[in-house]
Amino acid sequence: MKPVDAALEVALIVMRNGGSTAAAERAFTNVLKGYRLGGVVAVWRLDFVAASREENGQTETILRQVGAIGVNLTRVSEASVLGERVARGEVHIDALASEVERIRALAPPYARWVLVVTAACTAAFFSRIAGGDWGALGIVFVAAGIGQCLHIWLQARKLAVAPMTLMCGVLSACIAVAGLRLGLSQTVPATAVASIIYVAPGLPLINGFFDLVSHRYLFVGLQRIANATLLFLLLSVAIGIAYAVVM
Amino acid sequence: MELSTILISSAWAGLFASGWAVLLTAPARFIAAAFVGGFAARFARDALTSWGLSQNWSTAFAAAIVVLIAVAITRRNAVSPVVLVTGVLPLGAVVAMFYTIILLMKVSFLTGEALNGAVVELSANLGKAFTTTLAIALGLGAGLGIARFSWREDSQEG
Repeated sequence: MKPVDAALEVALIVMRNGGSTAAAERAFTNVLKGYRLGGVVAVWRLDFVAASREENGQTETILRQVGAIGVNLTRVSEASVLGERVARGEVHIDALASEVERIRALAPPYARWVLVVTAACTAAFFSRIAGGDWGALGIVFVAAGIGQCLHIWLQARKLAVAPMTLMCGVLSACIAVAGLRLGLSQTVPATAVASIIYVAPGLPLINGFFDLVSHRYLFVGLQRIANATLLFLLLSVAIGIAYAVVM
Repeated sequence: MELSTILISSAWAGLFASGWAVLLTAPARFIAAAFVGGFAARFARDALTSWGLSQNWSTAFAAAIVVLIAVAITRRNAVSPVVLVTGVLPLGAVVAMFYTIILLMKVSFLTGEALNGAVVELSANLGKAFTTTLAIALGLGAGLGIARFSWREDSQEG
Protein backbone atom coordinates (compact mmCIF):
# COMPACT_ATOMS: atom_id res chain seq x y z
CA MET A 1 0.00 0.00 0.00
CA LYS A 2 1.38 3.44 -0.98
CA PRO A 3 1.76 5.95 1.87
CA VAL A 4 -0.91 8.40 0.67
CA ASP A 5 -3.32 5.53 -0.10
CA ALA A 6 -2.80 4.09 3.37
CA ALA A 7 -3.34 7.47 5.02
CA LEU A 8 -6.52 8.00 2.98
CA GLU A 9 -7.86 4.56 3.93
CA VAL A 10 -7.44 5.30 7.65
CA ALA A 11 -9.03 8.75 7.24
CA LEU A 12 -11.95 7.29 5.26
CA ILE A 13 -12.73 4.86 8.10
CA VAL A 14 -13.17 7.93 10.31
CA MET A 15 -15.36 9.75 7.76
CA ARG A 16 -17.51 6.73 6.88
CA ASN A 17 -18.29 5.90 10.49
CA GLY A 18 -19.46 9.25 11.79
CA GLY A 19 -16.15 10.85 12.81
CA SER A 20 -15.53 14.56 12.39
CA THR A 21 -13.49 15.94 9.49
CA ALA A 22 -10.88 17.21 11.95
CA ALA A 23 -10.49 13.66 13.34
CA ALA A 24 -10.18 12.27 9.79
CA GLU A 25 -7.49 14.80 8.88
CA ARG A 26 -5.64 14.12 12.17
CA ALA A 27 -5.57 10.37 11.36
CA PHE A 28 -4.44 11.15 7.79
CA THR A 29 -1.62 13.43 8.99
CA ASN A 30 -0.51 10.93 11.66
CA VAL A 31 -0.15 8.10 9.14
CA LEU A 32 1.87 10.36 6.81
CA LYS A 33 4.03 11.36 9.78
CA GLY A 34 4.74 7.67 10.38
CA TYR A 35 5.90 7.36 6.75
CA ARG A 36 7.90 10.62 7.19
CA LEU A 37 6.11 12.02 4.15
CA GLY A 38 5.45 15.75 3.88
CA GLY A 39 3.95 18.12 1.33
CA VAL A 40 0.67 16.24 0.90
CA VAL A 41 -2.41 18.44 0.52
CA ALA A 42 -5.88 16.99 1.13
CA VAL A 43 -9.30 18.34 0.15
CA TRP A 44 -12.22 17.14 2.28
CA ARG A 45 -15.80 16.79 1.07
CA LEU A 46 -18.69 14.64 2.25
CA ASP A 47 -18.77 12.76 -1.08
CA PHE A 48 -15.03 12.49 -1.82
CA VAL A 49 -11.55 13.11 -0.42
CA ALA A 50 -8.65 14.16 -2.69
CA ALA A 51 -4.99 14.04 -1.73
CA SER A 52 -2.31 15.62 -3.86
CA ARG A 53 1.48 15.40 -3.72
CA GLU A 54 4.24 16.88 -5.87
CA GLU A 55 7.23 14.66 -6.65
CA ASN A 56 10.02 15.32 -9.18
CA GLY A 57 8.07 18.23 -10.64
CA GLN A 58 4.97 16.09 -11.25
CA THR A 59 1.76 16.26 -9.27
CA GLU A 60 -0.01 13.05 -8.29
CA THR A 61 -3.62 13.33 -7.11
CA ILE A 62 -5.58 10.49 -5.53
CA LEU A 63 -9.35 10.70 -5.30
CA ARG A 64 -11.39 8.47 -3.00
CA GLN A 65 -15.18 8.29 -2.78
CA VAL A 66 -16.53 8.54 0.78
CA GLY A 67 -19.77 6.69 0.03
CA ALA A 68 -22.49 5.96 2.55
CA ILE A 69 -21.88 7.39 6.01
CA GLY A 70 -22.97 5.25 8.93
CA VAL A 71 -22.33 5.42 12.66
CA ASN A 72 -19.79 3.20 14.37
CA LEU A 73 -17.76 5.30 16.75
CA THR A 74 -15.76 2.27 17.88
CA ARG A 75 -14.22 2.10 14.40
CA VAL A 76 -13.60 5.87 14.53
CA SER A 77 -11.85 5.51 17.85
CA GLU A 78 -9.75 2.55 16.63
CA ALA A 79 -8.74 4.41 13.43
CA SER A 80 -7.68 7.46 15.45
CA VAL A 81 -5.62 5.28 17.79
CA LEU A 82 -4.07 3.50 14.76
CA GLY A 83 -3.04 6.87 13.29
CA GLU A 84 -1.36 7.85 16.57
CA ARG A 85 0.45 4.50 16.81
CA VAL A 86 1.72 4.83 13.21
CA ALA A 87 2.96 8.37 13.97
CA ARG A 88 4.86 7.09 17.03
CA GLY A 89 6.37 4.28 14.95
CA GLU A 90 4.61 1.53 16.94
CA VAL A 91 2.95 0.01 13.86
CA HIS A 92 5.17 -1.18 11.03
CA ILE A 93 4.19 0.03 7.59
CA ASP A 94 3.71 -3.57 6.37
CA ALA A 95 1.18 -4.24 9.12
CA LEU A 96 -0.94 -1.19 8.28
CA ALA A 97 -3.08 -2.84 5.56
CA SER A 98 -4.07 -5.70 7.88
CA GLU A 99 -4.83 -3.20 10.68
CA VAL A 100 -7.09 -1.24 8.31
CA GLU A 101 -8.90 -4.48 7.38
CA ARG A 102 -9.28 -5.41 11.06
CA ILE A 103 -10.90 -2.04 11.88
CA ARG A 104 -13.18 -2.24 8.81
CA ALA A 105 -14.40 -5.65 10.00
CA LEU A 106 -15.16 -4.47 13.54
CA ALA A 107 -18.80 -5.20 14.30
CA PRO A 108 -20.92 -2.70 16.27
CA PRO A 109 -20.06 -3.16 19.94
CA TYR A 110 -23.65 -3.71 21.04
CA ALA A 111 -26.06 -6.51 20.15
CA ARG A 112 -29.25 -5.70 18.23
CA TRP A 113 -31.54 -6.33 21.17
CA VAL A 114 -29.40 -3.96 23.28
CA LEU A 115 -29.87 -1.24 20.64
CA VAL A 116 -33.65 -1.83 20.55
CA VAL A 117 -34.00 -1.64 24.34
CA THR A 118 -31.66 1.36 24.50
CA ALA A 119 -33.56 3.24 21.78
CA ALA A 120 -36.82 2.61 23.64
CA CYS A 121 -35.35 3.73 26.98
CA THR A 122 -33.52 6.76 25.51
CA ALA A 123 -36.67 8.03 23.81
CA ALA A 124 -38.66 7.42 27.01
CA PHE A 125 -36.08 9.40 29.03
CA PHE A 126 -36.31 12.21 26.47
CA SER A 127 -40.08 12.36 26.88
CA ARG A 128 -39.52 13.18 30.57
CA ILE A 129 -36.93 15.86 29.71
CA ALA A 130 -39.35 17.41 27.19
CA GLY A 131 -42.07 17.63 29.84
CA GLY A 132 -43.99 14.45 29.08
CA ASP A 133 -46.08 12.64 31.71
CA TRP A 134 -45.78 8.95 32.69
CA GLY A 135 -48.29 8.00 29.99
CA ALA A 136 -46.02 9.65 27.42
CA LEU A 137 -43.07 7.65 28.77
CA GLY A 138 -44.95 4.38 28.19
CA ILE A 139 -46.18 5.32 24.70
CA VAL A 140 -42.73 6.54 23.63
CA PHE A 141 -41.02 3.42 24.98
CA VAL A 142 -43.19 1.20 22.78
CA ALA A 143 -43.12 3.51 19.71
CA ALA A 144 -39.33 3.94 19.71
CA GLY A 145 -38.68 0.26 20.44
CA ILE A 146 -40.79 -0.88 17.48
CA GLY A 147 -39.31 1.88 15.30
CA GLN A 148 -35.77 0.83 16.16
CA CYS A 149 -36.59 -2.78 15.19
CA LEU A 150 -37.60 -1.47 11.74
CA HIS A 151 -34.48 0.75 11.67
CA ILE A 152 -32.17 -2.23 12.27
CA TRP A 153 -34.05 -4.33 9.70
CA LEU A 154 -33.78 -1.58 7.05
CA GLN A 155 -30.11 -0.90 7.88
CA ALA A 156 -29.34 -4.58 7.24
CA ARG A 157 -30.92 -4.12 3.78
CA LYS A 158 -28.65 -1.10 3.16
CA LEU A 159 -31.50 1.32 2.50
CA ALA A 160 -30.48 4.99 2.02
CA VAL A 161 -30.60 7.15 5.16
CA ALA A 162 -33.38 9.55 4.06
CA PRO A 163 -36.12 6.99 3.20
CA MET A 164 -35.10 4.90 6.23
CA THR A 165 -35.48 7.92 8.54
CA LEU A 166 -38.86 8.77 7.04
CA MET A 167 -40.19 5.20 7.32
CA CYS A 168 -39.05 4.75 10.92
CA GLY A 169 -40.30 8.22 11.80
CA VAL A 170 -43.76 7.56 10.32
CA LEU A 171 -44.08 4.20 12.12
CA SER A 172 -43.00 5.53 15.53
CA ALA A 173 -45.01 8.74 15.21
CA CYS A 174 -48.15 6.80 14.18
CA ILE A 175 -47.85 4.56 17.25
CA ALA A 176 -47.27 7.61 19.47
CA VAL A 177 -50.22 9.54 18.00
CA ALA A 178 -52.41 6.41 18.36
CA GLY A 179 -51.46 6.33 22.06
CA LEU A 180 -52.39 10.01 22.36
CA ARG A 181 -55.71 9.38 20.63
CA LEU A 182 -56.45 6.62 23.12
CA GLY A 183 -55.96 9.23 25.85
CA LEU A 184 -52.92 7.57 27.44
CA SER A 185 -51.14 10.94 27.68
CA GLN A 186 -52.04 14.63 27.62
CA THR A 187 -48.57 15.92 26.67
CA VAL A 188 -48.89 15.91 22.88
CA PRO A 189 -45.67 17.60 21.60
CA ALA A 190 -43.38 15.79 24.05
CA THR A 191 -44.85 12.39 23.14
CA ALA A 192 -44.74 12.95 19.38
CA VAL A 193 -41.20 14.34 19.30
CA ALA A 194 -39.72 11.87 21.81
CA SER A 195 -41.08 8.91 19.82
CA ILE A 196 -38.81 9.77 16.86
CA ILE A 197 -35.79 11.17 18.72
CA TYR A 198 -33.78 7.93 18.26
CA VAL A 199 -33.44 8.72 14.51
CA ALA A 200 -32.60 12.41 14.99
CA PRO A 201 -29.35 13.33 13.17
CA GLY A 202 -27.49 14.72 16.19
CA LEU A 203 -24.03 13.55 15.13
CA PRO A 204 -24.04 15.07 11.59
CA LEU A 205 -25.35 18.31 13.05
CA ILE A 206 -22.58 18.63 15.65
CA ASN A 207 -19.87 17.46 13.22
CA GLY A 208 -21.15 19.99 10.69
CA PHE A 209 -21.12 22.74 13.29
CA PHE A 210 -17.51 21.97 14.22
CA ASP A 211 -16.49 21.84 10.56
CA LEU A 212 -18.05 25.28 10.05
CA VAL A 213 -16.52 26.98 13.07
CA SER A 214 -13.08 25.52 12.32
CA HIS A 215 -12.99 27.66 9.09
CA ARG A 216 -11.04 24.82 7.46
CA TYR A 217 -13.85 22.55 6.33
CA LEU A 218 -16.55 25.02 5.31
CA PHE A 219 -17.92 22.95 2.41
CA VAL A 220 -18.06 19.65 4.23
CA GLY A 221 -19.63 21.46 7.22
CA LEU A 222 -22.35 22.93 5.01
CA GLN A 223 -22.93 19.52 3.41
CA ARG A 224 -23.34 17.87 6.82
CA ILE A 225 -25.71 20.57 8.10
CA ALA A 226 -27.80 20.47 4.92
CA ASN A 227 -28.03 16.68 5.26
CA ALA A 228 -29.06 16.93 8.94
CA THR A 229 -31.62 19.65 8.12
CA LEU A 230 -33.18 17.43 5.45
CA LEU A 231 -33.48 14.57 7.95
CA PHE A 232 -35.05 16.88 10.58
CA LEU A 233 -37.52 18.04 7.92
CA LEU A 234 -38.36 14.42 7.04
CA LEU A 235 -38.97 13.63 10.71
CA SER A 236 -41.29 16.62 10.99
CA VAL A 237 -43.12 15.40 7.90
CA ALA A 238 -43.37 11.98 9.59
CA ILE A 239 -45.08 13.57 12.61
CA GLY A 240 -47.32 15.53 10.26
CA ILE A 241 -48.32 12.34 8.41
CA ALA A 242 -49.02 10.58 11.69
CA TYR A 243 -51.26 13.48 12.83
CA ALA A 244 -53.13 13.45 9.52
CA VAL A 245 -53.60 9.66 9.43
CA VAL A 246 -54.26 8.76 13.05
CA MET A 247 -55.66 11.89 14.75
CA MET B 1 -37.16 25.57 40.88
CA GLU B 2 -36.43 23.24 43.79
CA LEU B 3 -33.13 21.38 44.03
CA SER B 4 -34.88 18.00 43.99
CA THR B 5 -36.69 18.91 40.75
CA ILE B 6 -33.41 20.04 39.18
CA LEU B 7 -31.66 16.83 40.25
CA ILE B 8 -34.47 14.64 38.88
CA SER B 9 -34.52 16.40 35.49
CA SER B 10 -30.70 16.26 35.41
CA ALA B 11 -30.81 12.52 36.10
CA TRP B 12 -33.25 12.04 33.18
CA ALA B 13 -30.89 14.10 30.98
CA GLY B 14 -27.89 12.01 32.09
CA LEU B 15 -29.74 8.75 31.39
CA PHE B 16 -30.84 10.08 27.99
CA ALA B 17 -27.26 11.10 27.15
CA SER B 18 -25.79 7.72 28.10
CA GLY B 19 -28.51 5.89 26.14
CA TRP B 20 -27.81 8.08 23.15
CA ALA B 21 -24.08 7.24 23.44
CA VAL B 22 -24.97 3.53 23.17
CA LEU B 23 -27.12 4.25 20.09
CA LEU B 24 -24.14 6.04 18.54
CA THR B 25 -22.11 2.86 19.18
CA ALA B 26 -19.66 4.78 21.32
CA PRO B 27 -17.01 2.69 23.06
CA ALA B 28 -18.06 1.66 26.58
CA ARG B 29 -15.62 4.09 28.25
CA PHE B 30 -17.61 7.05 26.89
CA ILE B 31 -20.97 5.99 28.34
CA ALA B 32 -20.28 7.18 31.88
CA ALA B 33 -18.74 10.35 30.41
CA ALA B 34 -21.90 10.95 28.39
CA PHE B 35 -23.99 10.56 31.57
CA VAL B 36 -21.82 13.15 33.33
CA GLY B 37 -22.04 15.53 30.35
CA GLY B 38 -25.83 15.25 30.05
CA PHE B 39 -26.35 15.54 33.81
CA ALA B 40 -24.00 18.52 34.20
CA ALA B 41 -25.47 20.37 31.22
CA ARG B 42 -29.05 20.09 32.42
CA PHE B 43 -28.10 20.78 36.03
CA ALA B 44 -26.16 23.91 35.04
CA ARG B 45 -29.00 25.20 32.86
CA ASP B 46 -31.76 24.59 35.40
CA ALA B 47 -29.69 25.86 38.34
CA LEU B 48 -28.68 29.05 36.53
CA THR B 49 -32.26 29.63 35.38
CA SER B 50 -33.59 29.19 38.91
CA TRP B 51 -30.96 31.68 40.17
CA GLY B 52 -32.44 34.31 37.88
CA LEU B 53 -30.33 34.04 34.74
CA SER B 54 -32.30 34.05 31.49
CA GLN B 55 -33.04 30.73 29.77
CA ASN B 56 -30.78 31.59 26.81
CA TRP B 57 -27.73 32.63 28.84
CA SER B 58 -28.18 29.56 31.06
CA THR B 59 -28.27 27.35 27.95
CA ALA B 60 -25.11 29.01 26.58
CA PHE B 61 -23.25 28.46 29.88
CA ALA B 62 -24.45 24.86 30.02
CA ALA B 63 -23.23 24.19 26.45
CA ALA B 64 -19.81 25.65 27.34
CA ILE B 65 -19.69 23.36 30.40
CA VAL B 66 -20.38 20.34 28.15
CA VAL B 67 -17.39 21.27 25.96
CA LEU B 68 -15.11 21.60 29.00
CA ILE B 69 -16.29 18.22 30.34
CA ALA B 70 -15.69 16.63 26.91
CA VAL B 71 -12.18 18.12 26.82
CA ALA B 72 -11.39 17.02 30.37
CA ILE B 73 -12.49 13.47 29.58
CA THR B 74 -10.69 13.17 26.24
CA ARG B 75 -7.41 14.75 27.46
CA ARG B 76 -5.67 14.58 24.08
CA ASN B 77 -6.11 18.11 22.79
CA ALA B 78 -9.34 16.95 21.20
CA VAL B 79 -13.03 17.13 21.98
CA SER B 80 -15.08 13.97 22.23
CA PRO B 81 -18.02 14.42 19.81
CA VAL B 82 -20.00 11.75 21.67
CA VAL B 83 -19.96 13.68 24.94
CA LEU B 84 -20.82 16.89 23.07
CA VAL B 85 -23.71 15.48 21.03
CA THR B 86 -25.23 13.62 23.96
CA GLY B 87 -24.63 16.54 26.32
CA VAL B 88 -26.23 19.31 24.26
CA LEU B 89 -29.25 17.33 23.04
CA PRO B 90 -31.09 17.60 26.39
CA LEU B 91 -30.58 21.38 26.21
CA GLY B 92 -31.77 21.65 22.66
CA ALA B 93 -34.77 23.23 21.15
CA VAL B 94 -35.69 19.94 19.49
CA VAL B 95 -39.32 19.97 20.68
CA ALA B 96 -39.76 23.63 19.68
CA MET B 97 -38.01 22.98 16.36
CA PHE B 98 -40.22 20.02 15.42
CA TYR B 99 -43.37 21.74 16.64
CA THR B 100 -42.47 24.81 14.55
CA ILE B 101 -42.31 22.73 11.37
CA ILE B 102 -45.58 20.96 12.24
CA LEU B 103 -47.27 24.34 12.87
CA LEU B 104 -45.81 25.62 9.62
CA MET B 105 -47.58 22.77 7.81
CA LYS B 106 -50.75 23.36 9.85
CA VAL B 107 -51.10 27.10 9.13
CA SER B 108 -51.29 26.39 5.41
CA PHE B 109 -54.82 24.97 5.76
CA LEU B 110 -56.20 26.91 8.75
CA THR B 111 -58.50 29.92 8.46
CA GLY B 112 -59.99 32.63 10.68
CA GLU B 113 -59.46 32.53 14.45
CA ALA B 114 -57.70 29.15 14.36
CA LEU B 115 -55.16 30.60 11.92
CA ASN B 116 -54.46 33.60 14.20
CA GLY B 117 -53.86 31.31 17.17
CA ALA B 118 -51.60 29.00 15.19
CA VAL B 119 -49.57 31.93 13.81
CA VAL B 120 -48.94 33.29 17.32
CA GLU B 121 -47.93 29.80 18.50
CA LEU B 122 -45.71 29.38 15.43
CA SER B 123 -43.92 32.70 16.08
CA ALA B 124 -43.33 31.81 19.73
CA ASN B 125 -41.92 28.37 18.86
CA LEU B 126 -39.81 29.76 16.05
CA GLY B 127 -38.32 32.37 18.37
CA LYS B 128 -37.64 29.77 21.06
CA ALA B 129 -36.04 27.33 18.61
CA PHE B 130 -33.88 30.07 17.09
CA THR B 131 -32.64 31.63 20.33
CA THR B 132 -31.98 28.26 22.02
CA THR B 133 -30.03 26.98 19.00
CA LEU B 134 -28.08 30.23 18.90
CA ALA B 135 -27.36 30.00 22.64
CA ILE B 136 -26.07 26.43 22.23
CA ALA B 137 -23.87 27.45 19.28
CA LEU B 138 -22.55 30.41 21.28
CA GLY B 139 -21.85 28.21 24.30
CA LEU B 140 -20.11 25.55 22.21
CA GLY B 141 -18.04 28.22 20.48
CA ALA B 142 -17.07 29.82 23.80
CA GLY B 143 -16.23 26.42 25.30
CA LEU B 144 -14.04 25.55 22.34
CA GLY B 145 -12.33 28.94 22.56
CA ILE B 146 -11.52 28.35 26.25
CA ALA B 147 -10.30 24.81 25.47
CA ARG B 148 -8.04 26.01 22.63
CA PHE B 149 -6.64 28.78 24.84
CA SER B 150 -5.81 26.27 27.60
CA TRP B 151 -4.19 23.88 25.06
CA ARG B 152 -2.01 26.77 23.84
CA GLU B 153 -1.04 27.63 27.42
CA ASP B 154 -0.20 23.94 28.08
CA SER B 155 1.94 23.64 24.94
CA GLN B 156 3.82 26.87 25.82
CA GLU B 157 4.48 25.55 29.34
CA GLY B 158 5.46 22.13 27.96
